Amino acid sequence: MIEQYHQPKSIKEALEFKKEFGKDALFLSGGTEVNNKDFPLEPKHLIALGTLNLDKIEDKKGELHIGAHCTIQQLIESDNVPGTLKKAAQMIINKNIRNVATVGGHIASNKSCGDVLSALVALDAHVEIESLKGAETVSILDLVDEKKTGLITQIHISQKNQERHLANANFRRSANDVSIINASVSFHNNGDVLSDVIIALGGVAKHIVRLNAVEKELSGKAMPQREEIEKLVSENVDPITDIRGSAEFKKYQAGVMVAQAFCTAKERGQA
Amino acid sequence: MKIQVKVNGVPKTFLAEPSERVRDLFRRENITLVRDGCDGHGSCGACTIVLDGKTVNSCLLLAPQIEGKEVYTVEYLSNNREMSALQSAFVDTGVVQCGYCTPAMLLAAKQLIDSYPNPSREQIRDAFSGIFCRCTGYEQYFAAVDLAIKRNKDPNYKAKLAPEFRENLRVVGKAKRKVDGPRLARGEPAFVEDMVRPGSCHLKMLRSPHAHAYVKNIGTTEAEAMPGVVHIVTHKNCPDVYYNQAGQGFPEPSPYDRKLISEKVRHVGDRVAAVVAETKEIAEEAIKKIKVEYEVLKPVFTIDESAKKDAPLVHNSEIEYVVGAPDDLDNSKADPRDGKVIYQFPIHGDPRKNIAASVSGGIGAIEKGFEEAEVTLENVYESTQIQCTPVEPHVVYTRMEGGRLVIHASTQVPWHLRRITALILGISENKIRVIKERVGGGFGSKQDIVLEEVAAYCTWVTGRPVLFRFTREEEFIASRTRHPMRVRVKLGAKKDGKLTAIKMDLEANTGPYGSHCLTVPMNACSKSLPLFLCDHVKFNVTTYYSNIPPCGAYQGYGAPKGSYALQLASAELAEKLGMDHLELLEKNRVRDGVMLEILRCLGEGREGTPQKVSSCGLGPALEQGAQMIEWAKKEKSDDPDIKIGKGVAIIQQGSGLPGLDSANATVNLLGDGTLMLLSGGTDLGTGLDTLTTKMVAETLCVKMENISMIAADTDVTPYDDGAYASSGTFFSGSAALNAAKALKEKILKVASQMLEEPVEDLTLTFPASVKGKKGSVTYTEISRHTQCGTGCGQLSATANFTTDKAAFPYGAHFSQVAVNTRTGQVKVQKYYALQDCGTPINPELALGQIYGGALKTIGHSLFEEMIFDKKGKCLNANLLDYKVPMINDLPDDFKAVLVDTDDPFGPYGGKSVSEIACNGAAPSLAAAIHDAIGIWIRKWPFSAEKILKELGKI
Repeated sequence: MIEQYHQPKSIKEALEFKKEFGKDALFLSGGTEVNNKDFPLEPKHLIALGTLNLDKIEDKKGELHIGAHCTIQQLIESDNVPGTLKKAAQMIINKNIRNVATVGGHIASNKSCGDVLSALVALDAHVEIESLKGAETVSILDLVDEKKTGLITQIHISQKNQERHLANANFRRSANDVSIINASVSFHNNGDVLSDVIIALGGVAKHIVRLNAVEKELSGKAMPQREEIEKLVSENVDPITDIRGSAEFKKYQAGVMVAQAFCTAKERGQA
Repeated sequence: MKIQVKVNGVPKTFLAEPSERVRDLFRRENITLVRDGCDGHGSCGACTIVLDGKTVNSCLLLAPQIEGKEVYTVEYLSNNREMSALQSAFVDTGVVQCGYCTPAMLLAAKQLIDSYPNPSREQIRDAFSGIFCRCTGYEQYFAAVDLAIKRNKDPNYKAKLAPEFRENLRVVGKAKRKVDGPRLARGEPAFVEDMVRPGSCHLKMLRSPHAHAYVKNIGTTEAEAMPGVVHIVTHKNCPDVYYNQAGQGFPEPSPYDRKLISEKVRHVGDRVAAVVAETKEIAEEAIKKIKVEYEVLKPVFTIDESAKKDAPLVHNSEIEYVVGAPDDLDNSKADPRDGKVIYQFPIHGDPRKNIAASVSGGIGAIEKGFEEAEVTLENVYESTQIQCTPVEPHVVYTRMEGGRLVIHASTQVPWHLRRITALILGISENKIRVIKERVGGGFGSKQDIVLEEVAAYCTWVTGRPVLFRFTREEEFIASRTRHPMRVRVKLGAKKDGKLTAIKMDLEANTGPYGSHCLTVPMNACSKSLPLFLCDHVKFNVTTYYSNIPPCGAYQGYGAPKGSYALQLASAELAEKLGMDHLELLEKNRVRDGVMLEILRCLGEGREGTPQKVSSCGLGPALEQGAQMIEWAKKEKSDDPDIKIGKGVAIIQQGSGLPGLDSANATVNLLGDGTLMLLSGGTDLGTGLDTLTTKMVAETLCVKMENISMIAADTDVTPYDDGAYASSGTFFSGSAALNAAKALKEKILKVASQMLEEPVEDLTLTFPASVKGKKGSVTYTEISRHTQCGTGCGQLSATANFTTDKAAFPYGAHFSQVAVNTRTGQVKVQKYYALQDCGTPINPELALGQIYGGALKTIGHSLFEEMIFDKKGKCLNANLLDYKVPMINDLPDDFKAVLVDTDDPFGPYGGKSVSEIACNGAAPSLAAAIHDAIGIWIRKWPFSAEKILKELGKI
């Protein structure tokens, strides 16, 4: 049961609340996860982030800065956000959710089905996190891999990374389903040669994963046949069977989605 | 904490706990137009509000999150008593069916139009993307938005909203404003949850974690001692009365095989203890304090497990028959803890073999038919368990008034509810009043009494008002679901495609209790076999008890599965013969005027009656549908992975149950010549109240707005069996028609006296007057004449409708799918549902019924499925994991077409329209998938995983 709802006036105050109440406290952004009936934790204190002015999307000398409190819908409506990231945002099909769910909350919830999260990983986004020790900019993968924690305040996407070829593909049973498999891939294309390949894949592990071995295999070469990518990916993932599909099915579909994203990214061009 | 917020333009201050959801806060503060269909998962959108200009789910917001903000609810849209352009557009285009999601949809539409003056189809879909509507199939929302935009510019704008039928009639066959539409669009209190008075108690149910077990010990002392706990019911203190929850006409074909709470639990989610407390929270806490010791038994879940020799018995009960007990009935091995199974009459059940019911029948000589065949085909078709998912879950509110029990119910069967409740409580029916409130979706699940009787009993015992509302999980595990079935179809045919023999061997799984255990599986045969004219037909039906969650009625009532099996088998036969499927259907299909002998053996637990087909629109439906979808044209995608195919299925249903159903209505002439209609009919959002009103308006030449109506209140309106078996139009409609005709006779008789002209010279003329050769008299004058001190009294007529005649609706559903052979995904590109419902009394609403039924079953076919673990626990008992079609699941091109026929027995030629719409999707889509990729999918849902396996990809 929530005992207190805190509305800090500054990031510092938010962090102090967190320090004071420790594990009994959670940051609250949009609330579509934390306020959900089945949210697994029962915090006694909520520290609301709505008044911290973290809801701007700005182009800072070519680098895109997205405030953590921006909603998913803001990504879609912003002129500054690359089209492919907007497409990932549109994969969250429920507008009522998009109107409330925030980018920071989406990252913090760190779900394997996070469509925007996988796109941000594929864009090699960096995240500004704050703690009482100060601000720090870390790779988004450090948050996904739970190597770093802190209050997410901003997401940065460098100019170079915005120039990546990026595409997402996901598999779901129905329009409003969560992604059972979601794949985001990005790369630079030098002539026909792929470089700096990133493959972010959801639905095959507890969190979104990078397929480092496959990335390495594909970098520095022309894009192989679609079937070859499918095979490579399938061999490099180890999903579990659950109500959304068998391990075998997910393994197969992971290959298909990654290969699909590659094909789309190649056709589509830059983010 | 104090929350300051502007609601609908008015500054408000609320006191709330920080954990309180905005939805709950608003309900508490009587801002009632935030509904709830998912218990706070954010997956149904029924609780939508507009927060600072954006539509959001209020169940996912904490009260302090709206501090200082501006909120709008649908209350804001109405201008005093008038509807806004948007609200009227919603009502007039037919998207206000049950109305439970209407406030949410209206707000989404308002924000859409405010943002985009001329929204695209994609923008409209996006606006409604988070709101679940089970009734409408979403298609008409596009027209609703368009009409609203036009009416915003011109308030008097009139659009042609649907085709019109019967030029000679004023209101029948024309789109007229749904009579309950304004109430629902304005968001007036209408549903059970709106009737709950402050201080009412809450009922919560402790449910079994085991699929099959005896309750060895149950301790309630600690729970009972909790302050605020009012009453606890267990198997130890509940009435020793057996009954069945199926709302069917008495004597029911469903066995009385349960008590209010049984000593034996038979499915995960079965009742163990009912707790009534002063708050929901106390009831939930009390449940945790009840101590239960179970003796866990081995469960059976599948048909094969149930049918196995020496399988655990779901009902090792004492078996009784009210009439027709077999001579060899042996109860010596029954376990008293299992209680009883009481059959009202034999339905060939054998609980000692887990068989709840069985039936066989046929015409001709099946072996001869197969001997005559030049080609035979035999395959097995299976369906899984799916749930009706009305957006408003099951809910009831019970209270005492003047020593009588009042039940505010969201039910399809008010009179059966009263009868069953009276039986359990051991009281007479005059002590009970059932008021059917607006029903937020039923689809068959509310044909059964799945919670009302518990609340009623608790109120009767304690005298306290009680609210009992299912959670979404309970809706899955403790209300009603479609029977899983396995149907073996064998067809024999000549090389020219003429069928010589049809055999259906059908096994069904009814779950723990035999609700509709005979009639649903039987209906799978009786609504599929008569579609084909064949001399030799045989069917065998066996229904098994098991430990899955209870099955029962679901829109279509077995027919969707029979149709899937038989229609798909006919497609397979066509392929085997090298024939076009359409040609095979045309060669064998039922036609106008033929006598359906097969119906003799398809009665509901008794001998049936052969029926002559009184009207059949199949011919034009097939012809028009084939043209629309360009049947002969093979479509090709530019993407080599995408294969496109087309499919068709012919379908039928009934219009109520001739010889079994009964409906009544009363029409009263009021003092000023207006009318009051009292109909027993139970409108679930389908438009039945509008239909019965039209019957009266048309017959008595009165404006619809001069007729008010009350329906389905057991104290006020006459008896009606209820809304099931597609009976509304034919039975409740005909009862209203008969009552109007009876009143017409009385009016003419009085007018004859007043005008001093013979009745033969008089005619009713619009509006509301009687014209003779010499003069005329208005209904007002007639009413004043009869109601004065020297008159004959108020003119009133009550009439009944029963019949032995049937009126079958027919249809053809065509589909075009694109199958991605790489992902296994099926995209429905085109879906054309052409249906003959006789005269479409409410054409715009009839179209909505078709869209709703078709989309629902597209969902069943492609992705809906209850999934269980090995112990029988449903793993996806919520709307996040159990997928239902949302607006973005619509076919790219979705059309419902009303094929004109005029039935001689239906009221003004009308027949049923809704349930039949559920019968076409599975076979049509499966045939289209085969046409695309050459694979027959014989088990639904047609998931990507299944398709990939069939393609050998995984």
